[in-house]
Amino acid sequence: MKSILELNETKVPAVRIDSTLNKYDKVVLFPEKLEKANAMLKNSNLADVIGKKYSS
Amino acid sequence: MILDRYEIKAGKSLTTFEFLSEGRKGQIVKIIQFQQMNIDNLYNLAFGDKSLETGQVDDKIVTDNGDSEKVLATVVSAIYAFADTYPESWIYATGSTASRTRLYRMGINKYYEIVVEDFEIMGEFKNEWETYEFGKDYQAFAVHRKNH
Repeated sequence: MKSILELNETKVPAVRIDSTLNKYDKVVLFPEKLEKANAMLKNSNLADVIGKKYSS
Repeated sequence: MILDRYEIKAGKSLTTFEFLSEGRKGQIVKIIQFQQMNIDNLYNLAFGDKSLETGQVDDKIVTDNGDSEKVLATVVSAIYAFADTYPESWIYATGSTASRTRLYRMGINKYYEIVVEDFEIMGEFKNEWETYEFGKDYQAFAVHRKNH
């Protein structure tokens, strides 16, 4: 197992799990941002692009 | 190159991350959330400050804590952590304002050579998605971890 110091030398960070943050798992903290993102998505071809990349 | 960044913590699902920005205005709690969008495996990257008094979050606030590079590097590290946990995911990002979208674009350009080794990067230009190119005025971005 890598030590925290070793992990911190990598691009993937060592993440400390904090159970006090579990309460956010089912909560949308930035609803306006999500609504705006989904609205932008409706008028774009991102779903097609992602779909093609998965199938290729 | 490993960038200077803050330590991050997360809930057990690794969809919400928190860290402490330390700068000229003191300590500010930053919160990052990857929010499921209306397409499977597509997550919106949302990011803002959390008030210690009220617990309320704000993604439009301009903190100006003098540590924006370290904050940006920390957000990038959270993207790595999330994408490693959810390797099928695509992460979508656009700013809450035009100026913040410009900041995201500057951030991608700044760290492009690091990030492109590990992520596929797409940009939305005039409602069309394409492979990210420097110098284009993209409205939104999407990244996906390579090699999974």
